[in-house]
Amino acid sequence: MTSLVLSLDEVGAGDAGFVGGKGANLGELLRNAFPVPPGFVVCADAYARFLEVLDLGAELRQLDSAPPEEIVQRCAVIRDRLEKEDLPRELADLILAAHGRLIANRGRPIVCAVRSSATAEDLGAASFAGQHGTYYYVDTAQLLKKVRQCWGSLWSPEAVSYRATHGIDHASVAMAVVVQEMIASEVSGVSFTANPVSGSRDEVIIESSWGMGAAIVDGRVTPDSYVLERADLRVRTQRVADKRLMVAAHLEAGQTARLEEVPNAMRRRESLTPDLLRTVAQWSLKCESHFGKPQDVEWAICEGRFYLLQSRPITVMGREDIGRDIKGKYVLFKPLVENFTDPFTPLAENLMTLVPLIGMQFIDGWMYVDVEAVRRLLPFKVSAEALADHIYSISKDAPAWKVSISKLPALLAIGLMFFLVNAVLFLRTRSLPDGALDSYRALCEKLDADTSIGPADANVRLLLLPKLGDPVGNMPLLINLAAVRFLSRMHILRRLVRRWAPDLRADAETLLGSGSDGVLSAEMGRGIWALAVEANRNACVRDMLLAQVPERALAELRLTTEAQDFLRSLDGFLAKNGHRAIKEWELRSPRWEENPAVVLGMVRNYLLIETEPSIHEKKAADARAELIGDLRARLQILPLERTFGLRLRLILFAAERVRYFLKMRENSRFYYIMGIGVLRKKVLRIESELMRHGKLKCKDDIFFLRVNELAGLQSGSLQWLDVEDRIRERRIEHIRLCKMGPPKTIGIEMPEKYAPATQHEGATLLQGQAASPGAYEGRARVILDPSIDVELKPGEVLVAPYTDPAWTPLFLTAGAAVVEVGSYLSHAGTVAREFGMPCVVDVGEATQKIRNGDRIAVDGNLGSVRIVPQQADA
Amino acid sequence: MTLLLQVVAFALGIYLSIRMIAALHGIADFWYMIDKAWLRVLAGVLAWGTTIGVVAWLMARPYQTAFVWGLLTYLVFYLSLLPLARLYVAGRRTDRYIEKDVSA
Repeated sequence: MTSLVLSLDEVGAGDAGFVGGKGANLGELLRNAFPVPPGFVVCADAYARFLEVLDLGAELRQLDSAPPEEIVQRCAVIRDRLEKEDLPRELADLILAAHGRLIANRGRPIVCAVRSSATAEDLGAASFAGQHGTYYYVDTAQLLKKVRQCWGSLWSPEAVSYRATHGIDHASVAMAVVVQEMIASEVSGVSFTANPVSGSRDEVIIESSWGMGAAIVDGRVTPDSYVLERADLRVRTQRVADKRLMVAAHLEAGQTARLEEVPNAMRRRESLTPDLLRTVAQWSLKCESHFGKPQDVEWAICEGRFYLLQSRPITVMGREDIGRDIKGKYVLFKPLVENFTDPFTPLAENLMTLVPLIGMQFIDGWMYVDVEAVRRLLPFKVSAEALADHIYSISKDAPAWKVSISKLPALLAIGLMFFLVNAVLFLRTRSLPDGALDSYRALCEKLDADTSIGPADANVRLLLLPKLGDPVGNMPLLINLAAVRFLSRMHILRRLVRRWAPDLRADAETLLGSGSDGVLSAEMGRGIWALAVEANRNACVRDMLLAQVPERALAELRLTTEAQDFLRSLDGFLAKNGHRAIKEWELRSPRWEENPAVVLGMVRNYLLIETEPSIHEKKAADARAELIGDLRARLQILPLERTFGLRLRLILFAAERVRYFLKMRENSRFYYIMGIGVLRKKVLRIESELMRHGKLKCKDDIFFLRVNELAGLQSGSLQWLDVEDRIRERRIEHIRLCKMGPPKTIGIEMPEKYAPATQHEGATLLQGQAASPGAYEGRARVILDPSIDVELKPGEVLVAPYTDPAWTPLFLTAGAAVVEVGSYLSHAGTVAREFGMPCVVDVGEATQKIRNGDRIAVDGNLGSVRIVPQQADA
Repeated sequence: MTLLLQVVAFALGIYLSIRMIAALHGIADFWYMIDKAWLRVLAGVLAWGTTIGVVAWLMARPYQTAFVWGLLTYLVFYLSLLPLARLYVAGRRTDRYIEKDVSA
């Protein structure tokens, strides 16, 4: 063979310069008896030869001097020619001959995977980010075309933009192409021989799912996840996902769609047996041993046999990389991230910033507050670090900052304007009865039915701009903002209690400020409990729910006559709460009405416990009554209190105001989420239409487009090929960011005293913020996603990255709650107080420091969590 | 002193205008339960309307003028908020330039 096409077993690690990093790695592994599928490499020289034949030298030379706005267009011309022109005869024959040898060795026709292999090290990250082409199911007829398309992917807008950003010369890049027999995998996945986020070397992480691995890499499938002890490969934690989709290993004649539904019976079945898990781990560690550094390994299992598809060094991406290129100083906007820690998808972010936010900015999918912009407005002499810390922990009492006299006039003017703009709204929301926001439901239904209004316009109408005659119930977002008055009321309550009854229990204000009736998220939890009670009374329903996974149970219930009453109750529940979801602020999250099995999963959880949720509430109510009695007794000794009782009345009034605004905040959010549900429905209709016309290929891809790209697809100015690469790149980036989580600040070096509550290695005492009073000790249950981890035993301590109302039912089962990101005002704090259970929030890295089964002591008064040593527990 | 009192009257006019507008909004805000809330809504409108009338009637001429100006100024300000907000949103919407941005 010439150096234009080489067999994989002819290349090794030192050949990356002409076969690319991927080709060199695979060749190296194959030579060393790793189970790599056979294949060949179309070398970078072949690419260079093709460019010569096409006589693109002049175009490439002109790129350096081309104005930036013309670069994309010029690259598109290069790409077009690479993809459409025929290869030179000699080169085509070499490629087809190599392919012929693959088929001959196999003894039957095969399909291939055709993958780009960049030759430059600095393009390695671009490959990782999915910018360069990868094609599956390639037969002889398509082979040459796919090779050209791999070369063409070097000139996609995303790849060109990447090179421009990183200062890589366009004319200097080259691409090899790896062609291998495609493994018709039953199970595939990725494994990491070190934690890609923390860099920890004591664990091996494996993610696996049914079918081909492509869908895991770009996030179309949620895989099973295993964390193994590196030393003995013992399973430390495992999470079996609800695997709804898979990329088929085989295509039927005429079939183009590659994502297919996983059969119900397989959705929650573990994709890896213990033996296969061990096999995957062992081969991954062998890769690491061979290359001498931690590896990110892609693999597949076919007919019980393990295959290695790719191995590359892990790049540990720390949070410090996020926002590195952003100028300015920013702090994370916690009220949003405490609801879920993943970054928003591009479409969700785009809709939220339809009108640019003042003083705020999205950075890599998370919302941040511009600290300098806020500092300019405040009349205080305060450092950016101190201000960032206070913005992040807004519910703490404000520190005593010095006033800056020169800024006072501006502050007064701003304050006056704020008052004038919001005064009427604040008066209208002073004492709303329960049900005042119900009119919003009718508005949502009306807009949902109006197909002439797209998601962007619906967003404006539902969430941004009311009409003059609209009742205040139609403005859940504005009501939610108006509920911030809770902070001042809480401050007043605290001052009153501390002044007149300083020896009262430490959590007196918290207890007084909780216990409202009519909190919709708490009612939702009770609604699920009521479904569980009804299911429990019906042996047929109960048995089905306990014996099956929720999806299967739902399918069977629908066919069962005895279950119809229960299903009607379920429908009634969904009619009211169906717009809710896990990670409900994210447009991409399926709503309960789309997938009622999630609700059945919660019902099933309740069937496993015996304690009624009302017991928690009664306990809290009793504690409140006792506190008020204690308060009354302490106040009696003060002058004139016996006669007039004014102090007690004032304290109780302040407490009532706190409860009112907290309830308003929580309930307005219930309806705001309803608005998001309408937007999602509109987006799904557009998705359905675009998929019908072949402009989108996979469900969920639409959320990785921006509003203007969506409009382009609808109008026809964009086609699937125009958006395919950018969707893949954004999906891969999204997964990467999800694993990292957001940094608390960007552009600010926080001094030690303001450092985030990241915990020291080996720490047994974790600090956070007190959100609900009380002390509790119990076994920890770490739950990252309530749709996957549904097994929370009664009395276990819920440990979570965040919580939102979809997690509420878990609070009824748990003995206490520990949350990584949250605040006193957050869902976790609010619901924990309603249920009278201890809760500590803002415990940095809680889900990593605390493991399933650890015995932990939660102190909701001090805001601390202690991991009880094992020996003390014996 | 006269000027100061006029300013106070103007501010009082603004305050009562705010109260009156909020009371009038009650008609829409409680329309869904108007059969139960009509008394509350009516009481609010009448109370603030009467207050405005009584205050205006009790005030001497220069202060009465300032007071009425306060009422009207806030009313105009409030009624202009929504149109201004609409203009702002329409002008700042990032999805306006659809055809120009499709390749980015």
